[in-house]
Amino acid sequence: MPEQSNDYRVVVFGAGGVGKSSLVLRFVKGTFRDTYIPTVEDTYTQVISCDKSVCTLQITDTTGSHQFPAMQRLSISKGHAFILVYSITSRQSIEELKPIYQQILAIKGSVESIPIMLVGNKSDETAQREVESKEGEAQATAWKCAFMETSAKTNFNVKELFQELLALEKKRDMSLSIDGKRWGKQKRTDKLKGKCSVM
Amino acid sequence: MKVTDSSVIRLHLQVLYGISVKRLEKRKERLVLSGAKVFGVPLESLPRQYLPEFGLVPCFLVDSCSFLLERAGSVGLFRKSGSLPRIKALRAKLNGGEGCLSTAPPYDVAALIKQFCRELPEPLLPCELHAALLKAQTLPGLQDRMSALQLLSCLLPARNCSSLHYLFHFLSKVSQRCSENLMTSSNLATVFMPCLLPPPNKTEMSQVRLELRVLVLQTFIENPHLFGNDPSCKPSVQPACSDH
Repeated sequence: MPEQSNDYRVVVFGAGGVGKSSLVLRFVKGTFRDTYIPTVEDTYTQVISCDKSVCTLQITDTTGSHQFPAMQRLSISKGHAFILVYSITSRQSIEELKPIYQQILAIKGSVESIPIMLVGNKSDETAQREVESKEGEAQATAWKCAFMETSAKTNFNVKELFQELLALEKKRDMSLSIDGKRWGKQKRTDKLKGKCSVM
Repeated sequence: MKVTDSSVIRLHLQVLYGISVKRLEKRKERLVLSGAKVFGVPLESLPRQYLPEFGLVPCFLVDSCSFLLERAGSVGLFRKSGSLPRIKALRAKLNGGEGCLSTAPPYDVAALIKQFCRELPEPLLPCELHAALLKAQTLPGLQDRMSALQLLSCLLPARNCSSLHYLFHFLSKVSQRCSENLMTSSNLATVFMPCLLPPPNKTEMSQVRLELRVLVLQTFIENPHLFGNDPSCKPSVQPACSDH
């Protein structure tokens, strides 16, 4: 089936355990779970307004532990915008974004017209901070992308993150609010936890 | 007729469960030109040691898994990444034949175990078996699922079977400490999927198929004995064989 043409696809990348799923779930469902479950790959969709009409915002939450290279290429080539997440409590996690950024650059050719947000998550865990905001900003400047610190746990800057990201898209005029409706009507696609009766 | 005869096993899988299995391709003899001792080396060329319970298992797996078993309480073991420069250095040492695990951080060693599995020239679970494994996992009855998976494990070359038995036995021990390390069998299966059952093409990259791959690994982590050679827990192949 061909992809719906007016879908806007956002892909979330980052090392294991930095809070990619938590950010996405906080945004899509408004909840925070304190569980510990690695992601295979999940896609969430949400209706947003786009060029005076509506379109589907599709958010792909990827796995943090070694994504299969072909799968990573596929996610990047399908993505319109990217969120690169690290945890402010782990210097290693910002290091791990470098190869992913390089891969995006290689596949897209240039990142100039592509919305990318570097995100330092877990901003509430100040006692464990290893990466200063300044360092995140510097990295974002080097990558010519936007930067933000967030906390999925305390719901700090989460909605703003998605709003800013959409605002970076110059080819379309997108916003989270839909006239006359509250944003937040969403459905989860294809997720099949613990069931295997599809075949 | 021998119980282990692969054509009999295939027939049973077909008749009992409707699972047809691709022929395993004959492996070409591989030469290791890099001089590497651990990573990217075919199973049969790796230094291995004999463990009565499992058979011949690569020394690297035995050393690294034994090392990690003593540190199995580490939160997010196999999920959290170690330090990339340290992992690189450790890997170079191991590939040069140096034993240097004892002082390494557990997360680095865990990352190397995953790399080791990913980089085997022939994957531990051969691609020809993937479709059958996934089909077996979708069988409705638990008993049928187990029997079919066990029959499929009998089709593996002995060297793969020993290593998989050892690895899943180890992972099941790690998962038993999940109250400390938070890595349940399902979590471990998720992070090992790209290493042990990577999707070969785009159609296999759909969420449903990926999650099925995770479930196969979860079943193996919860039941490592499926790779065992103990005839007493082999499924009932024998009575059916006597019909012929």
